[in-house]
Amino acid sequence: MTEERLWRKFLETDEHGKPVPYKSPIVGISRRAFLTALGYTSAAIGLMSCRVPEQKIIPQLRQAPEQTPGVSSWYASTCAGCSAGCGTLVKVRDGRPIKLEGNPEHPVSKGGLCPVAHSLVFGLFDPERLRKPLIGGKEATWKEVDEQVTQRLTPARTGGKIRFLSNSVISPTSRSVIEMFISGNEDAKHIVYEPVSTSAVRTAHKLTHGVDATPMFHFDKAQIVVSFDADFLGTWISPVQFTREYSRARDLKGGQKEMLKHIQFESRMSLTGANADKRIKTSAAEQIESILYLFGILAEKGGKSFSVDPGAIQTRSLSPAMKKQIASVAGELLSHRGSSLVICGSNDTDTQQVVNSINDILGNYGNTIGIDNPTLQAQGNDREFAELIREMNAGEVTALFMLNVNPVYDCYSSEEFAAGLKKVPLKVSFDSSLNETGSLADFVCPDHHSFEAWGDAETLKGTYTFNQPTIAPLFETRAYQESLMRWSGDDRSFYEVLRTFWKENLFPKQAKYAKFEEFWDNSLHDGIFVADSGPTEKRAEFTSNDLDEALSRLGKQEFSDYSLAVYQKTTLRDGRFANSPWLQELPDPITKTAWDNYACLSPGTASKLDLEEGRVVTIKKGSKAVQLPILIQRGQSDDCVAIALGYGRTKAGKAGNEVGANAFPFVSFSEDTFRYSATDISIEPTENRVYLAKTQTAESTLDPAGFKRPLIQEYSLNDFVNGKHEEERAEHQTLWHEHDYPDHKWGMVIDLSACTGCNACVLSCQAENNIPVVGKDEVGRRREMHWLRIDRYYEESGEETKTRFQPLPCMQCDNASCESVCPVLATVHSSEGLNMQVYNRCVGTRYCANNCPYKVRRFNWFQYPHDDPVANLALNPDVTVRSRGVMEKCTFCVQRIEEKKIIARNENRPIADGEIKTACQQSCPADAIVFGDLKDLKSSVNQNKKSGRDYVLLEDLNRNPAVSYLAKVTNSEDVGKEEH
Amino acid sequence: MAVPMEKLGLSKHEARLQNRIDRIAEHPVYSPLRKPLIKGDKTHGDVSADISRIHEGKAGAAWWVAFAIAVTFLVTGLIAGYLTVTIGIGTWGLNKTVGWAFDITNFVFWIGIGHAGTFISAILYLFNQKWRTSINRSAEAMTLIAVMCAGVFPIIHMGRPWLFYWVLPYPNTRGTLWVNFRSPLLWDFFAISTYFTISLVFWYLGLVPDLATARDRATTKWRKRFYTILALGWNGSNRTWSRYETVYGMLAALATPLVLSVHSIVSFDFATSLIPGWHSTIFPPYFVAGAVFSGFAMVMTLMIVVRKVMNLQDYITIKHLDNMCKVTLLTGSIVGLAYITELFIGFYSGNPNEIFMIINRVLGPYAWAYWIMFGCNALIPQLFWFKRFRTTIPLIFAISILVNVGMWFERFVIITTSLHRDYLPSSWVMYFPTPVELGLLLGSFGLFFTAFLLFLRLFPVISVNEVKGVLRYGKH
Repeated sequence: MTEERLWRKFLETDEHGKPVPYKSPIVGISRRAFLTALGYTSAAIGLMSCRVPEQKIIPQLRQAPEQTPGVSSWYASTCAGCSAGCGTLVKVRDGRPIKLEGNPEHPVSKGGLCPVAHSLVFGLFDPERLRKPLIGGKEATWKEVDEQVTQRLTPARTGGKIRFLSNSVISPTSRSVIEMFISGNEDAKHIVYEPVSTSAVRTAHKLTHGVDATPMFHFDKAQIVVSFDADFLGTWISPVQFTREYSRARDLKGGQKEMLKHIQFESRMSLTGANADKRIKTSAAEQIESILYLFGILAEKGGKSFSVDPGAIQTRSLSPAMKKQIASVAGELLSHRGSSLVICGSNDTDTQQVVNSINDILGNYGNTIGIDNPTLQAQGNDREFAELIREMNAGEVTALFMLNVNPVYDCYSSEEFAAGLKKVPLKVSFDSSLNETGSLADFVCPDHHSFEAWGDAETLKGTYTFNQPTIAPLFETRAYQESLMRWSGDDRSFYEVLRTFWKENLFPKQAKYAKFEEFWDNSLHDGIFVADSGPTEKRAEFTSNDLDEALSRLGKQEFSDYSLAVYQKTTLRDGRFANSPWLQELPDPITKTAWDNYACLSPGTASKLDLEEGRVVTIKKGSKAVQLPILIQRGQSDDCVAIALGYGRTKAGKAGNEVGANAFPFVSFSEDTFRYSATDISIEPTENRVYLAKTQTAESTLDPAGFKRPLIQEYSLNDFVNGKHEEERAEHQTLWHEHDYPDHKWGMVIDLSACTGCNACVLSCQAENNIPVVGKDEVGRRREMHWLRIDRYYEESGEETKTRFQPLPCMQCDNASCESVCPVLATVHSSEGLNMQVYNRCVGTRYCANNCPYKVRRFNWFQYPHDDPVANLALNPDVTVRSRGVMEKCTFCVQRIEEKKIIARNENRPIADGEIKTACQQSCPADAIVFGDLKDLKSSVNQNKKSGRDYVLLEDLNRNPAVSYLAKVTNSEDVGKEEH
Repeated sequence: MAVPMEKLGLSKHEARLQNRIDRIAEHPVYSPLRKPLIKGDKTHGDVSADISRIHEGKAGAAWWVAFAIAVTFLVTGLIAGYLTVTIGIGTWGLNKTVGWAFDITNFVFWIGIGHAGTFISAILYLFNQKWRTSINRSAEAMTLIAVMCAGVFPIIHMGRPWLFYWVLPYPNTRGTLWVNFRSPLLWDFFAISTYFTISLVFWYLGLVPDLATARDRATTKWRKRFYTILALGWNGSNRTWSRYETVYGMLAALATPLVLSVHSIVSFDFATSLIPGWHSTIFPPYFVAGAVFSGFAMVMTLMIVVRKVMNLQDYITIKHLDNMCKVTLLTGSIVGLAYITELFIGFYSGNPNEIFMIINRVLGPYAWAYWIMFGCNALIPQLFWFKRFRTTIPLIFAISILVNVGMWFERFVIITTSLHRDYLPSSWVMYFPTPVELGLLLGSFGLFFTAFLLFLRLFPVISVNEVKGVLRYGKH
């Protein structure tokens, strides 16, 4: 309780143990004002009693102390979307969690979120969630479940193997509960399974450093990052955290003269590659040989002795030009010893060993890579999972408990897993909806949604965060930890266990608080506890014992004409949340395609095979085949066929079923790890053609008439440092009356240099503003409703394909072309510079949308359904749900502006700069969006607008928009030469 | 003629005079310079009989067939309209970038058709073009019906058409919230409602003497009652005629500027916006010329059918068609000039967005529509330079239909090809109509022909009184 917070913890009490009452924003009422108000109120009540009241209302008997109708509370929590465990703030309004935002004080994620996190809100109110436990597919009571499971567990405990299969459990207390549950058995094991695994990073570090852990990568400490196919800004290990650090290291908003340089070697076009300063397109063979060649050069020049002879490294497929490029990369890396970072997305232990060696030569361990203080994210252990399949098929497993896993859908051999599962006498699933695996289980014991459950998280060793319940369970679900405890005869609640765990394990690790209660309350309030670091562990030392073999194995790899890469989209990831229509409708940042997966081919390959976009092909690898439409992807290597995972679910629910095709069968298991690439594949065209629901089809700023539209301004770092960007901006004359802004003038700056195009803002906007989902057909008709979109343009220069992103909210023009044409004044200018859309006045002529040069207006073509009482709970009550036939658009989150204005007015103070955060801005992990008051000369948005890098889109139209962009700065020499 | 003079009670002198007049009438001498407008040596009685026969007699098989087809179209349109209003604009092919396509294309098309009527009746009246008398009545009726067809679209294209009256500046209780006088859509409302009102009054006023004829000739009770009410007590006195002609002339003078203003204002919908391809100062004259062009083509299409089916070849002669072809040629050439000017200005402006718009229009995905437009509007009417094309009825008929096809595509090209690729390539889209939109287009033709066929059966299709006034044109 030391400082003011926006949020309060669940069940917060003061030092007397009493609930902390809601603190009204109405403060500072004097005695005189109070008496005046009292007088008026008494008189008013007296007058009211003259009338016979006709209706009676019954007030809530006990008003929850934390709830004030119409006022939101914020709770610090942890995201359960993936194992990255980002810190979140949950917005609770009238008892309902309706929005997730990043917690800027979280030590790992440091604010910002990804699209998956936003979709959790939808998951909570998903009407298809299980409402009761199931026995053999039929609804049952918890009592029946407990009786039967306990009964059947007793024989299973003796003689057989008990396996607990889960995804990465980042909660230390839950891990202890699982340990406790399995500990009483002869042969029991907790197996961590991640369908998209990075376990090679761990196994490689086990070999090179003797530490079986994923190290912590510190992008913010690096000056140069070389990534081989690692999509660290999109999907790899902890993308939000990495994006945060990456963008901080590249930030130029504070007048910095240096920025992180990013070089990406990749064969498919990833979000990360799209952001690289230099992206080197490689074939699958070149990819591995590039790493080897780079290692060879560094081993030679790096001043470390290796038992291997770098000269013997095979580089058959590397062209001399490529070798030259790699040599120059090696040179740059060598000049940044200790401040460079080389990472690789491959799940091959050998490759990762070589990468570890490279990082060791460069002295990055202990600087940009923390191996002594590793992360607990991404704990998947592929070998143990493969072993489990063997055990199940051998009939050795007597009981299998499955938590948040769905191997029947997403494992490399789902037939084998399903066959093995049949032989397990007791199968228990904790899934909250009936998925492909859960439907084969004997018992489905639905776990709470993470918003309903207590929990903690430890993503970075020694840093603990909380998961607080923000709503009472909607359905008859039960925390899986409690289920486990019931079955081992423990009747405590998980909350008690959590407290006990903290008391016993974490309380001693600090010295600040003497009493546990005090420690608990403060940690809960802060949402975080960082343990006092004990004696520093012995630093893991690099050994190259196994490197020889790894190198020789790598050198022997054979490649075919086409190689398949299965990857995760930043939207749907591994498909766990495939039933979220928000995620399904969110276009992929690169392909701009929603509601589908497809086989990406390079333009060269597509024309060689005479395939056009949308043509369905059969991709075959041995006996495994999948039918998918073709998508032509620029910048992709000619040998590469890339297919997104996470699609083709059969039991995800209404939104996720039968969307796209499942590519998990192409995943293979070899040498202890899952492999996400395959060679020897064939592409067989079919006669069918389908459409892809693309939100953007024109791919270049170069129009067909040959004119390059100046939509994205760009400078090289050199030009930027030399001040080339500070050109005079033209002053335009206008015939319009200038608007008068007496108090505020809201404005926004979007830093194109920071924006990675990750799409988190789009989904944040959708959640905040009750934006409907329209489905694949409607997206295909180009009627998606997103108020904020991210435009993606390609620029081809020689071999290189540059990708540029441009987020586009409503520009809130001063000379708005929408305002003058509306016949009924349904869109008007506010005194604070906003273009207000008056939904109930709109008659829907669509003239405003036609006349908008930025095309940011969205029309309600139909009455989009809001008829599910459960799903409707996710709606933001501050934002009108629009009806059919009206226009809608971005309002700069006017509801947030008004909320803060009211608070500031009640506290009799001006609004502080940065106090108002729009939903898109709050969610941006890259800090690319700055919002504020342009009347406040010191505001950050004003400073940025004056920075010289600022420019306005379609400036010659003189719309004078309130949104402007900061030109992209690329840390590369060959940028902007042709344009400037 | 055979009545003995004595029975009329004329004096000898008067009888001699009458005989001379009758002789001249029986043996007319034609002017070597002017051909008579009405063929067949009609007497006043013949005119009344010929024209009244159409609405007094039984409808022929041809009329019934045409009516059945028109009503079928109309019902199709009603179904499409029902779907639009009950389900939403989503039943159309529009999208986030193309917010108008078939709807406003149809609107501008029908408004354009509505131009010929007032042009013929008002402007040609003021210029004393006597040949207008045979066609002005049906041209004016066509105008009214076309404006009605047009008026459907601005209402039905709204997302919430049941609130269309919010566009009207009527006094209400919403305080300061009124209409936006800066919006061209509001100007449209004023322009079109004024135009419709004036056209209606003008048409009805011209109809009154004929309604009196119909009243006097009526044989059944209901027919008599119907025309009695409509004829407003017309008595054919000198004073009535005198006042009638004064008012008619004044109304003609009032209606004339409207012919120019309506389509100018409709063109402001586009010209005042900032979309390349819309934002163009050439639009007002270009739209007016196009409107008269398409209106005349539609009058020709209708008149060629009417004169044949209703046996009015003596009243609507080749000369009338010839004259209309000449107007079509003139206005078509203006339109063609405007197309070429647009191309030139696009490049001359040096504005990359404008240049791209022109290239996209001429060579882009909708180039086929552009070339239909250019061929039908700018090239084909040039055939009217040849007298053979102006006097061969099947050719006129074919060209008149092509002109209207071209004029429909002109609006489609302007609206859709400008919108679908504007400033930000990220929002570029394609537009394809849905069956509902095609149904509405069909329905508007259904409404047009249904109403026109009803007009043929209710009112004198040719202005009886005015034709009588030009019977002696070309005779000594």
